[in-house]
Amino acid sequence: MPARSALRRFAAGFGRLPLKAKIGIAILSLFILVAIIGPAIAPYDPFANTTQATPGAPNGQHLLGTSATGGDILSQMLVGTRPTVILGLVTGLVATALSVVVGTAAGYLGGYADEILSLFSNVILVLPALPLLVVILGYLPHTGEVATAIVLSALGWPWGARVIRAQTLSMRNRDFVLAAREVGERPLRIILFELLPNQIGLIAASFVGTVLYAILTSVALAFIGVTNLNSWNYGVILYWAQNGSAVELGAWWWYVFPGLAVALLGMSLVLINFGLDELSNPRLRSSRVMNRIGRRSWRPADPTPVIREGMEAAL
Amino acid sequence: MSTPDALPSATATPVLEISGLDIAYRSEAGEVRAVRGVDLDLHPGKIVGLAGESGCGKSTLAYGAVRLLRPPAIVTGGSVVYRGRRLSAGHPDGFDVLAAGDAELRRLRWREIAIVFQSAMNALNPVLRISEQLLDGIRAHLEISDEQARDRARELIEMVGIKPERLNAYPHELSGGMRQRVMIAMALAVEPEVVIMDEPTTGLDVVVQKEILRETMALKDQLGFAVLFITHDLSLLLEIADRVVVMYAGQVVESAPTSAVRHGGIHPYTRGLLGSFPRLRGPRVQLTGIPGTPPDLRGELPGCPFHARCAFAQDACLQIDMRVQAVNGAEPGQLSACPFVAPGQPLPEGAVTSGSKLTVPAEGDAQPSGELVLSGQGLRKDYRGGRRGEVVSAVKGVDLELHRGRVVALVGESGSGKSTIAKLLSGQERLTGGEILLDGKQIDPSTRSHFRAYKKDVQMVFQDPFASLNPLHTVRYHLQRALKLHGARTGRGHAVADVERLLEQVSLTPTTKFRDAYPHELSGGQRQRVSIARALAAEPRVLLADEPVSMLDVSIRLEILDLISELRSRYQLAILYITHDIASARYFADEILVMHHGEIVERGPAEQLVQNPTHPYTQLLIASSPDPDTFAVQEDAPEPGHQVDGVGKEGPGR
Repeated sequence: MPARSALRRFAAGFGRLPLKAKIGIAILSLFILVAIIGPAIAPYDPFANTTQATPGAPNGQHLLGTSATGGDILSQMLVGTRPTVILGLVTGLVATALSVVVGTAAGYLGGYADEILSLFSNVILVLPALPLLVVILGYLPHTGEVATAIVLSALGWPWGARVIRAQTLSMRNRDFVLAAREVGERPLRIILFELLPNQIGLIAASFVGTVLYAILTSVALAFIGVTNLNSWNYGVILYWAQNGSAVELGAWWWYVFPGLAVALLGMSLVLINFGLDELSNPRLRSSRVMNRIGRRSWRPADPTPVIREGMEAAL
Repeated sequence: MSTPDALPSATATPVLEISGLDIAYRSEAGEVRAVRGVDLDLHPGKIVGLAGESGCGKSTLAYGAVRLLRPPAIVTGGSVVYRGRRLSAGHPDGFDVLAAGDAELRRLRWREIAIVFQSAMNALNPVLRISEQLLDGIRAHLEISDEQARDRARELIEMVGIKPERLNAYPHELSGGMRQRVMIAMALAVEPEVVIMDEPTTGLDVVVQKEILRETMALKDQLGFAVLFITHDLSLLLEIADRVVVMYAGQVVESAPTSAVRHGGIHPYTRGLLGSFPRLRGPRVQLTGIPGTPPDLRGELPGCPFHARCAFAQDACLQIDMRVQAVNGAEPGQLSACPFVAPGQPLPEGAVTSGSKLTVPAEGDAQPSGELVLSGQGLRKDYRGGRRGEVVSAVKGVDLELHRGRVVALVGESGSGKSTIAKLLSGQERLTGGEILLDGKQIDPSTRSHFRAYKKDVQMVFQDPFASLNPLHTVRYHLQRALKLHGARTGRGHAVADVERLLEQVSLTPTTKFRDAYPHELSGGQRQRVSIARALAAEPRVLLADEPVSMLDVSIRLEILDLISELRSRYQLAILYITHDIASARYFADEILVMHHGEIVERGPAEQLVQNPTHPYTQLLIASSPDPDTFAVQEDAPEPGHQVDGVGKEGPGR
């Protein structure tokens, strides 16, 4: 019984979300599903090679075509979804956790702690991330998802940390925080129970943004070959497509389908982010919905509408 | 100032005529009918004051009448007709504001009807010089050469009492009062015939407020525009308005010549408002206040909307038609929406019990003073700041003593250092000099080792009840945490019953209704009660109250002060009441300290200090406070403002 009511609450909560968030969550769920069951339903071994010398166009046996060596693109994508999604989520979690810790500590403690933490995050913020990643990952002995996730997390937190620090700073001197101090709450409790719950929207948005950054960067890294080419992800497919001169051969399926998958995944995250934005800032929502009065919509600069009784239909 | 009220007779045509205006806000939860069939006329050279509590629709009415409200606000009925000299040729029957299009309205706004907005800080663009902002407006509405426009700007800025050199300043370089004067200059730039002033002096200190009002009156007499003056402060209107219109729940409940209101309004709501203001002069009269909260404006309100809070309420109230009309025994032109209550009719029996307990104590109100709990000696606080790292002293050696069962009021204007004293005494800020003594022992409350022990005895109530409760926690959470932390200190456990006890102490009953409420579900007064309950959880001996009522509506203020006063006597609390309002200090405090530029300039028993202020600054403060009773006396009295060492005229911001 409790399980069902929890489910119902969850469904009700989902129903209240803005449309953008719903679409985003639906697409993301699809990717997560594929990440879970993809390898099991892949029709071919993604590593399978044939003697074939040219990429094969989509057909009944290979729905998304094959690579130049005869590898099935659909299978490669189905298998490659899991590392891509896991890498994004893990990096998002670690980087967001780091940014929350650093951001709230810097904002709440202030003084020298703030100076030092801010300096640290600013330095990392101005490092050119991609070249640095290429250099670091190029020299790591076992380049793979774990190494990539660690390095991406280490470079991905400062942006969120700055935003959260700014929010903490503005909230630190709010009366309710001062009042909690008056009551005698300890700093850690104030941070955990008074400050953080008020920043959930911000933290969630920062998490979604970081996941997107991690996915796009990992794909870019794989594309230029800075990854373990023995495991599949969207970037690796693109790397092989590039290596196999897919564009010159006119083998569009080789790069369009994985490219589309990256774009869709990215779009779902962006949509969720927009949705979260609307959720935490109701004005974004109402400005569009409520300005439709009568049969026309009103710009904010328009004079106050005059709608007398019974005039509604005439507008 | 005001001629014996030349009442708008039928022959005089109003320059702006609002009749039967209905304005609603549409929302998913239904229509909020914020303004309901309001009639209002503005006449040239006259000031109409619009008073009422927050949410009564006074600003909505004013902005709606010039169609400045944004959707989801809509005008649902009525008419607004403007009859200006300059537009009379094109509109012989008057300019129908509600039928006008965008382009026509642009000609009307500012040129014919100008608005002075409440917050001058936000209404001025921070990155443009004052001159640029003035010139922008002049050029948009008048076709004149640059040279002429510049002359006009200089003329305007001098007109409102600012030196023309200041035209090159940026808004942040001007004080609040000067910024508001700039706003007035901008509003008058193209000689409008109607000026709408929306709380133009709210947030300014009383001395500056007084000056700006005087200047506005002089300009009105000189230029002959009509003024719609919106404020929540009825006593202010009694000083400047020719006619007072009181709104409640979107409807006009009383419209009367100011002199009539000064002698006491007719409508019970007007009387309640008048009875809510502590007076500065004359004997201390019984304050009544208005218990309860305004009604929900969604849907229909049958009969009189004030019914639920009215001491005179009867069954017939639900049947009446809310139209202001002449009442038997009223002065000419005095209209009230209440057909049952005659002018001067005494409050019915039992009404006083719901009113304030801040009654007049016996003569010589020096109560036997309890033991000394907390004292500050030579308190100093310097802030290092500014670009050149100069030191600013916010508090320059202040002594004060808080005794059990006594209220000490610290009165001063913004920037006088009074809030800094609260921060020092509560341990939020570290002392630069001097010492704090608790029970005669020196203590530094800002150090971590002392802070928690100190909090057991000294608690604080914050100014803004909307900010001092975490929006994500329930009332129960707030109180339970306070109880738990306090229980841990005393080694005594806490029980659920304790939460109930706290709620009962601050009269939030029935407790089941408030226990699990979130802050946003409570009104301002209720939130402030929760704040007070939280402070009481530690069973303190000292309560620091930093402007505990300044963010609340006039009618609610008394209730909260009453509550604090009652707690004072019940628990023998020592209270420091920090306020800018010397009149409330007179009623509420035993002793008043007047603070100016970080120093205490005068101190004494409350009544004595208010009656016979000796320091020039105290005298100025009292002379500037709006007070309905002293209007006639004040009329031609010399203004002390300009004789006191620079306190009358504000200095520039830097």
